[in-house]
Amino acid sequence: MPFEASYRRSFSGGVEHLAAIAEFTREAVAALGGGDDDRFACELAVDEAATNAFRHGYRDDPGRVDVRIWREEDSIVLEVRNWGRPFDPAAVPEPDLDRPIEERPLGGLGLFLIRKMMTDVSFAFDSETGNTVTMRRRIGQPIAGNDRG
Amino acid sequence: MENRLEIGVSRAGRDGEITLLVLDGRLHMGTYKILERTLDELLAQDDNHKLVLDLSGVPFLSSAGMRALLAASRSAASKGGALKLAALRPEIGRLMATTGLTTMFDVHETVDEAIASFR
Repeated sequence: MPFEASYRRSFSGGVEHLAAIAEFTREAVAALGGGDDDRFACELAVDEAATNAFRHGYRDDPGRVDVRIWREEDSIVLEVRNWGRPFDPAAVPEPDLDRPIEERPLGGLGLFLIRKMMTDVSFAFDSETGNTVTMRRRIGQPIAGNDRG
Repeated sequence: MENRLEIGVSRAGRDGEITLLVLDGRLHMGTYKILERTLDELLAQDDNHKLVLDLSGVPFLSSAGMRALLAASRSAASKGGALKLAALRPEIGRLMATTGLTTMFDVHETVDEAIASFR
């Protein structure tokens, strides 16, 4: 039956894997029925989550990041897991886009982009199963569809 | 598959006063340092503060790439110049527009428009 597959791959190392992670994500999302916008949005969300894992979870030391992608009814679900330092999304302020360019802080953009690209996002922390960000995108949702209210 | 970003640098404008960078590849955490290094070297020189980035060859841009662009934009502005983005692919333009990020940059439809905007 279509759409029952779950695509899973482990990447051990660091940001040198981002191109391979993107390729894996694009292929999985396409196989699960996602369109161009879905592929773009999922690629960006997984890139940002994996970057966070490599940079902040493992503090640039080599580490393992697992990516799992599957379909649930009308949505594609992306799961990015690491076993590094727990990540507290509440500690990351949203970027203030109204401030003048020279006053804007540079952090917080990655999480901001994930939330814009996805229908919903959740975080879980467990010392055994790892730190997991689970991101769901309704197929066909416009880019930044969260703006619709 | 490897992280890859190539940057071609040339002079543009009526008197060659503008530096044009043509990017080819994905701009993210695995590649932004290539751009950062190129821009830092250019901005360290006295006559390279007016920059146009041709992004038509960039199919992917993450927050790491945006941060590198923002930092360079600030650096150019602090030296009396500017960094302008041109020829964004539709999906990149839409991403930046719908997230409000276009307000952070001077974005132009074409490289020629970006160059002309310096006059």
